[in-house]
Amino acid sequence: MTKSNQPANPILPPVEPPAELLGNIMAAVAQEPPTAWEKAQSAIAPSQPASVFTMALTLSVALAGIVLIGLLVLAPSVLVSQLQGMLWVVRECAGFVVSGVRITGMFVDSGLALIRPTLVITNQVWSTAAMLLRIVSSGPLLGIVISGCALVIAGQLLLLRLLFTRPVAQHT
Amino acid sequence: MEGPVAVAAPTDAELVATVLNGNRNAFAPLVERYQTGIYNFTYRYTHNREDAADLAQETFLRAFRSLHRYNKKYQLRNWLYSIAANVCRDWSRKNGSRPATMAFAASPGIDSSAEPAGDSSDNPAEIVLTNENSKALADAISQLPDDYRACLILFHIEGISQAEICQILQLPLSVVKNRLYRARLRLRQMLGEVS
Repeated sequence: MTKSNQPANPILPPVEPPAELLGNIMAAVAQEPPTAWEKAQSAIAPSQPASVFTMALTLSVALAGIVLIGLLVLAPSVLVSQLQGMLWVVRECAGFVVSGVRITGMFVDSGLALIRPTLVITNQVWSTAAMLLRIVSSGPLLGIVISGCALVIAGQLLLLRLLFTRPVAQHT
Repeated sequence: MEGPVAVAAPTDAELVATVLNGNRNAFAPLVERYQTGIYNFTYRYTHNREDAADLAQETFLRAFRSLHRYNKKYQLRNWLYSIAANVCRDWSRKNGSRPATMAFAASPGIDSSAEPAGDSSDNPAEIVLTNENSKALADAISQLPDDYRACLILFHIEGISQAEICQILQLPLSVVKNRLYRARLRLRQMLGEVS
């Protein structure tokens, strides 16, 4: 239980604030630079294009919905074939990415196997670097980019190896 | 024929919403509503009219700047008091252990503006005695440590409940009770020494 409000202290009664306090405060408030919420309001105000964009997006989504429903009602076979086509595209893309990653890994491995004996690097550093490369190359987009780079590097290394037929010592 | 219909004054929440909608002038009624309480708090804390006015102004300015962070679940008055307590704490830190007694003694309007209850009496001796009591009490309060002073002023002078003080100072109830107890104990000791 907490004590309820006490009456004003009889020995120290309220003191009236100076008459100019309100004026001073309001003058200071008027001179204040734009506050956080005023800035936020002014940032929202000129963003009319955003609302137009939202409206256009909503309209296009609605239109797409209408077209889809129309196709579903009027020509379901067309819609099914279209969907199958889209799925095929998605599957192929996914397959491309996966194979890109696999190829990356392969080329990285082979590239590393080629250059490993020629560099003086301890096994531990080597395996860490290979692991890092595999991790980096596991991202789909990066995988494709790195696979390209790895392909070029591996090709150059193969060419070098063919040109200089010095036998490469097996790494133990 | 019916008389003029009394227009209800806008609530704190309505005024805050108006200010947040970009009307800075709507802040004036809020200041008018709470300036006496806040000024009293800062005055009892500092015992100096100029400092009290400055701190009250700083309190309202800080409140204005962070009005968008005000939680409507709590009373605006308590929120303002919590800002005032922080402002006073900052002031106290900046001024170090400034002798409040001197400031109090130098403040000219203490007796004239703060009319003690004894003034209603016809007995001049009683008036003098009550004025002296007021001075001694105000002097003793000003010598209290900051934490105790804020609790004591809010509870005994501003008449705010302990539960609300917990909200204002963001302290558990037990701490508020303890501080009030210790503040009263210190006051008793100081006033005992005076008498």
